[in-house]
Amino acid sequence: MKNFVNEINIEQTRSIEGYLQSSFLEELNIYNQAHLILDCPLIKTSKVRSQTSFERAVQFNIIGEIQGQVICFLDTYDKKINSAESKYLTSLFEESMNILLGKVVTNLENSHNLSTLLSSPIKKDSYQLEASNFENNTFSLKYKLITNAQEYDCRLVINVLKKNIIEV
Amino acid sequence: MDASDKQYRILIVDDSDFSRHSISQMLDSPRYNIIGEAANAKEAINILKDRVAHLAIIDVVMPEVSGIELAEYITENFKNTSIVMISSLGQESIVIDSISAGASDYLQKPFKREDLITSIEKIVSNIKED
Repeated sequence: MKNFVNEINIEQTRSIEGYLQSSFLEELNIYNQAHLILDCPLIKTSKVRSQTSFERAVQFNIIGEIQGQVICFLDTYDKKINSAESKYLTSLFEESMNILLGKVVTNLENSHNLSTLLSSPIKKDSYQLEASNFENNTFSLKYKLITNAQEYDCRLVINVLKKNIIEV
Repeated sequence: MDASDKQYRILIVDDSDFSRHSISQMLDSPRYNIIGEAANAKEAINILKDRVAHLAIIDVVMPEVSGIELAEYITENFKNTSIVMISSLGQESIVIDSISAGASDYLQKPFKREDLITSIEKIVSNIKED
């Protein structure tokens, strides 16, 4: 019975969902200027909501034994932001996501031996979330970005595949 | 002049405005003179051609030319400039590549001010006076 339970646990840990769940941090201090706090844990999803007009976005690519993309959205709905604050907030958001995902990629390698790298931020006019690109291995999670006594909702949409390495 | 009174000239290279600004704030002291901030390798090299830096703080992941490639170039062409690599990534292989490229230290983001100062002071303590 003990062995059977262990086998199930090993199998769960080997799924992409398990790798990702254990690699995302619950909280992260960004240079004492902002905090990221996990608001909704990682879940597998089949429907991805499109970017709203109030959302800023940035994309990162993951390259290596786990491959794919992460699109991060910052919701500014109902927030009054002047142009100087706007530039700062966008830069803070992008670097916060870079730091968070850098930690994830590092954990994937250090804890699960999955050699993976993160791209620099990719900025586009719009982010295509076509259903065909997001089948099977799409996950989402949410964080609160807290800065200057303001809370912003951040959602991350992750579409990744585990690259199978076949030894000959 | 006593070594503790010396001012050190520092270049910050990172494609993130927020990161450059945060590091610059951490080094807001008469002991450190930020000679420039660069968002990419090309800007960094142009600054170093004009101004001498004791130390360059370089982000690993940048578009086009990576921080590790830039570190190799600086090590080869600006021999009096020491390097601290910074990155959100903390894998051992990247740290080893950075040190092989000529970096004296490696800090994973987000680092504390004390960690950055300790790293810089350790490096500048080895700088020989001309």
